[in-house]
Amino acid sequence: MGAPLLQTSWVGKLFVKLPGRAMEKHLRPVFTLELGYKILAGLVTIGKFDGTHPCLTAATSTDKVLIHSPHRRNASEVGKLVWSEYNKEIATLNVNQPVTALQAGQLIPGSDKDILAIGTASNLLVYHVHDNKDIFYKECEDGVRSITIGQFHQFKSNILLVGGNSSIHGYDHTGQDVFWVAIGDIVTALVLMDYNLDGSNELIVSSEDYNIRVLSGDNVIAEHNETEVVSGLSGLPDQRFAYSVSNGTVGVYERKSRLWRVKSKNFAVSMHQYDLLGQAAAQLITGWSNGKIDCRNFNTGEVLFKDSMPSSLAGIVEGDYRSMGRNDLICVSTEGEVRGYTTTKSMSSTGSSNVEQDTIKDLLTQKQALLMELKHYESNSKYNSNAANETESYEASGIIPSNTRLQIVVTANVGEGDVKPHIEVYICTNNSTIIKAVIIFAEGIFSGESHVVHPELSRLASDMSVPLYLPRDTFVDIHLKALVGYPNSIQFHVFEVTKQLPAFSMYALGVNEEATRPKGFVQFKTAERLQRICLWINQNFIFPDDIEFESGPTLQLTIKCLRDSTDLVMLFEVSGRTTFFCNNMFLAADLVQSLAGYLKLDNLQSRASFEQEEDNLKQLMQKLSDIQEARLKLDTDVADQLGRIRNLIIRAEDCRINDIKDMMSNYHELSGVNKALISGYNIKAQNYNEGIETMKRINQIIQKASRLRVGQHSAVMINHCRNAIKNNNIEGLIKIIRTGEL
Amino acid sequence: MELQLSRVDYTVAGVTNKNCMRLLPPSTSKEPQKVAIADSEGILQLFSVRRDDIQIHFKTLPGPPITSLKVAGASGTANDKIFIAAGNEVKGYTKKGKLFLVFDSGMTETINSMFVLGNELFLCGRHVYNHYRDCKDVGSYLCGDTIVDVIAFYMTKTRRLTSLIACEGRMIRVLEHARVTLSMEVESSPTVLHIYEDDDSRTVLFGTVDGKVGILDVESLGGFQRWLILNDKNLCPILCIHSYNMAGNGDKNLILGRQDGNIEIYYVNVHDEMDASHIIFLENCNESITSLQCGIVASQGYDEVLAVTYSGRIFGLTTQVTDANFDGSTGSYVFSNDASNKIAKLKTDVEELQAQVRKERERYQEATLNSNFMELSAISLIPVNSTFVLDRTTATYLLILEAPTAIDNILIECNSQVDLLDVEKNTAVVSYSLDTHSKAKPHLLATYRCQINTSRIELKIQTSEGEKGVLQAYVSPVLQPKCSRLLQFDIKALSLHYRVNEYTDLDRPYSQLKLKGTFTLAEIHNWISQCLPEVPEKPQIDCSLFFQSSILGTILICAYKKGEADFKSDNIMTLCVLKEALSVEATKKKAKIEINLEINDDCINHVLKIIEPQLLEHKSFLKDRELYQALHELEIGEEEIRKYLSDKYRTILKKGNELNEHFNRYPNYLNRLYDSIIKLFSSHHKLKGTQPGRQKIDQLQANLENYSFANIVTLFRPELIKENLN
Repeated sequence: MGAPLLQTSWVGKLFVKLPGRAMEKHLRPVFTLELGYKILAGLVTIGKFDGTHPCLTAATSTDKVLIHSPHRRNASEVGKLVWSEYNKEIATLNVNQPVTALQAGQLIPGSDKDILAIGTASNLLVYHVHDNKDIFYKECEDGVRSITIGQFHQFKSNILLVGGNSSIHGYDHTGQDVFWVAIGDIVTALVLMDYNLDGSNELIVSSEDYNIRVLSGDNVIAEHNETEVVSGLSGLPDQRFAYSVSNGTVGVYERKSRLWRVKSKNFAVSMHQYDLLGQAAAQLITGWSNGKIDCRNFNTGEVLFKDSMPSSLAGIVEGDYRSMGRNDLICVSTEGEVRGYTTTKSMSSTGSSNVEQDTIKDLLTQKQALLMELKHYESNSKYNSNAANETESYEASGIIPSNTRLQIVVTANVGEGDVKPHIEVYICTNNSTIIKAVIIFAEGIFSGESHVVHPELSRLASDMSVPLYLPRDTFVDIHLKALVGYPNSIQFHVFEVTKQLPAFSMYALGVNEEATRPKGFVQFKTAERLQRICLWINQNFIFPDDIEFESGPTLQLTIKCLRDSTDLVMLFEVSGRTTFFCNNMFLAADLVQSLAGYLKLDNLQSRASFEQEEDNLKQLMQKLSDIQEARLKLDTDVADQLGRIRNLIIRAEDCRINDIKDMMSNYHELSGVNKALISGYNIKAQNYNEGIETMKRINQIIQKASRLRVGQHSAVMINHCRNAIKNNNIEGLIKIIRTGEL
Repeated sequence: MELQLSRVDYTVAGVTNKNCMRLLPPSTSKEPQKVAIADSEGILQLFSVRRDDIQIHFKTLPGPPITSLKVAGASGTANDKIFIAAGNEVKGYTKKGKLFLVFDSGMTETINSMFVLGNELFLCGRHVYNHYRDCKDVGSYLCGDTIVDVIAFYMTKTRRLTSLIACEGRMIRVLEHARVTLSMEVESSPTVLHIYEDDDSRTVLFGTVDGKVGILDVESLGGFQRWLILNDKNLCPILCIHSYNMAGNGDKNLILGRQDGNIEIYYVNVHDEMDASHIIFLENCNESITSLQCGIVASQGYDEVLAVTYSGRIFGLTTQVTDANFDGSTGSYVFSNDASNKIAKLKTDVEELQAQVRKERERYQEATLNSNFMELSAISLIPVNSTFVLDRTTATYLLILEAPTAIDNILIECNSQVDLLDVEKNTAVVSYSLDTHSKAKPHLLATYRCQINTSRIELKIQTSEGEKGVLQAYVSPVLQPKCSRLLQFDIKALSLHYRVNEYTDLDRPYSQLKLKGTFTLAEIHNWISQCLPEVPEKPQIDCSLFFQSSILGTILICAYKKGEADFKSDNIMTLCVLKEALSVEATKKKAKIEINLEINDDCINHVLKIIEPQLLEHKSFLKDRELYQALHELEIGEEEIRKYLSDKYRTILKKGNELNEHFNRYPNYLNRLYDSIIKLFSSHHKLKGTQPGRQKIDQLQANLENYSFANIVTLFRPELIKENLN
């Protein structure tokens, strides 16, 4: 791995660092106002409900939707909206359930008026603010987590897309269900943009299973794995989009490659593109949980401007709020503070008023660092030329032989006794120097972003092994920094090594070749030579020796998973037929996707059989219909009880006049009914949660099954599944999962 | 801000120590002043600023680190002689660069601070103070404390030569003829002394390690007079003070340089207490300011503050407007000629250096690949500036680490129970790591990955008393070849105590711990310094030390001599911890000791009484916050609801920010108080020879949450009830 010099800092490569110093001049807001309500983070939108005037719309912490209409002329509207007595510009709409998603947009063909879509845990209300009427109201079993409105795929007019707990539904302006796709987990954000420049919009979806997917219709055309829950997305011009992750990362993808990302200790709440600095091209504006707002160049991530609000940002939108004929950038904080910014030309180029001085400052910083490095080399050669005369022990100041090397070996350790199976990273030096500590920076595999091993003084040695557990089957870059010196040194040389752990690192080659094959399998045909497949294996697994195919009709590998010790058998035949035997359909799907990606297959059809999952699916489908039945029954119960309550109240009040004794007994009975109603409600709530959970698991299975295929076949399968589920055709569903066709 | 100054960067030197930059007085009134700067590479240079360039008048060869630089002259001549102190030598240079004085002080310690007044020379090492007249030793003084700064002047009335030394042990000593005539106790450790002169009066100011500036009354030997600048906003140590009329209205302003890189200019009135100081300018440069002075450096007629940072950046904050180059018509900036020349020159400099570095890098690389020769990789130690101080009001430690170049990451390791608190201005991404190797001990492992251009980082650390430990910080700069510097900080067994100079409250009940055995004075002094912070390095003549706990306010009095030590405290927990720590130290030395502990049970009531107000205050804050959150849930935006609330709730709603601030400042404080009481309870039992059961502790915890003084005292001292019953 060589000397310390060979490596460069990993963070520099992957992350753009946040600059330490603040910009000197601040851009001033062009307007500020207080809404006087606490706003929920992420639930801010803006709509031209009358077709011309933008209204800031946000969800409050008290289950209301607030509409701010600074341009309102006549104050005599009636209906669902309640106009505030104190602030004539603010109207509220009682939702009476926590609002989970909010979006304004044009949905009705031929109308220029925006409508407002409000999502809660179980309902979707599409509301026409200007005409004060409901367009449609839908019960959404899968919940509403995110909403977007716009043109998508081959649909002629705009549709409303709703991301739920495990799926996405599309509705047209009449409330007709026109689109459905399964997503493995809660959908956190939806963005419509023309990703591949084909003239129609693609849907970018982020979900809680750390994924970002790009959908063209039913077809997944791109997929990115992040290391934490992806919390937000924002479309940018030129086939780019920005994303934010709940661990504080913000970044930009240009098609399939990531342009940059930064990580800070706060997390991004809202992102928006706006040309704040008058650079002709827009910048990425990010609002953070600590109240910071920053404006970045979206090619490089460089911060061009910063401001901060006293509390967390709730949302960033743009609209012509001052009736100036151009849009302002509007930032809303969770405390209800609103600030508007506008494009400011004089901030040009670097955002600082004093370019000369900054240039000089930067050059001096460079000079300083270079001088210091040079000094290190000088003192090094001076020390070496004078080494014989040096009397002091060199160990204390951390002087090591210059040919010191750090070796690193990564192996799978199947574990023994108390030791769980793990991946072992073994490092050692080639001489008497010891490893004082090791810091490993990596994303998604530790609770934080780093793992440190710092042995006690008595246990210091020149080698060390670090156990790693990878929770998921995705490749991980580990950046290892080893502090090398002597036990009593006060300075250490840092050896830096960057290594990529392949996606299927947590699988070890089994010793026992005769192991029985697991029952579940997926089978498909490729036209590739086995040698090429060996390359894929060697790239995606860590086996002690590279696998090579010499001759014979088949290549069979028996593999053990280090997480749960289950078996995986991969059988490759010369004919091109490939079979993965394992009981874990998710693993099989990951393998298929990885291999297809490696071989650059656009389409792949496969046969599969996973009895366990099929049984699960059957049970889940059964459970779902039970739950739905139970729900109907509960609903009728509630209706019954409501009738009784009405009855009892009338009777009781009658008795107040006629027979006061009977009144008591009637009220007593009423209290009993009330109790029954409450317990009924609790049952209903539980039933609902179970329903959601079941739904989610079904969707997960379907989604994974679709990943057993690639390209068109996968999309076709999803389509079939949708129909099967609609008709509650369990057998059909299983057949689809097995063959990909109905 | 009332004052508008703009920053202009001039040049870079090596890593600088405190007090290592001075301006030479102008030779003619028309000419800008020359700058003398000395760094830790031993290079002294004198330069002046030309329109587009730096003109170096002379530059010495590298040598031992220069620790102090002064500009002075024999009485009657111009003050334009440069004196530098390095090692135990003082050298004098004329402004032409001629070496006119080499003086070996003969001191055993290296010189830390120096003051030159005419032909009088004052040199201080860590503990030694020496006074020379015409380079002849005329007196010396040995101080038990660490000396941090020295100044001297002639008294206005008596014309007697007086010198002042600032000592770390919160003492400023006045000396005449090398004899201490007055010891002035101050509340926090001084870091720097400054003479503020206006008209014909002279005031001595001092800066402190926790960010305050105070006035000393020296003329009438009155001691500490008052605080001129308080530290409500900034707790960062003050490193340099200068006074100059920056605002241009005839009054002298006070200019402060702090360790967090703040340069602050204040309006002050040292004569009138009612005329409050206020800040008129603030600029942060992200690096500690090691020295600053005001004068005219760049262009005639424009005053400026010239400052030097720890890493050797030299820049000015000038009153000259540099914004003039904005071209309004094109909306872009144009570089002025001078600036473009300067930039071009710097660019070539940087390019040359890059080429040179590339060559050296290759050579270094070759050596690493060569396995035959026994060559070594010897990277000189990376200097890291650090402070580790206790903030008494919140009972937390502030750790500041600063490298002369950008830091990549910092690894913090600690073998005792400590918590890292979030610091708002710290932008580094922290990540905790579980320790898998040693399971028995509490162990902290955390990494801080710094953002770009961060060369300085602040951490807040919460310790708990009981066991001593060591906090280790591995600082890895971005600089190649990559190295990591290890720094160690002791966390003493009684880490939350601080030294007070004197304590006279005899009304407190005291318990006593007596130690007898065959130990020397030096040994017992050493043991005590292992247990308590701020213990002077050398034992003083009357060996008594006083400490106060920052969290509880209890007192510890130590009196010791050869073979005998006596500790008195109103908190038996303190004594209990001390007892254990001392016996560990004694066993290490294999010294035989006899420990005798006398417990005064009234101490329990007393300590509980001391804690009570704090406990109640923090409890009420907690309750208010809970109420606040609940009240806030109500639609507080709507006036009508607010109308129905009681006065109490309305006030709570109003002080929401105050509450948040309080909890940011005192995170988890109530639990720390609970913890102290529980520890007190356990030590009480331990000293009585019993073990408090889990159940009893739970009972205590429950009682703390439903606080009542009587109940808690009964839990501590059940015998009291029996007595009452009898």
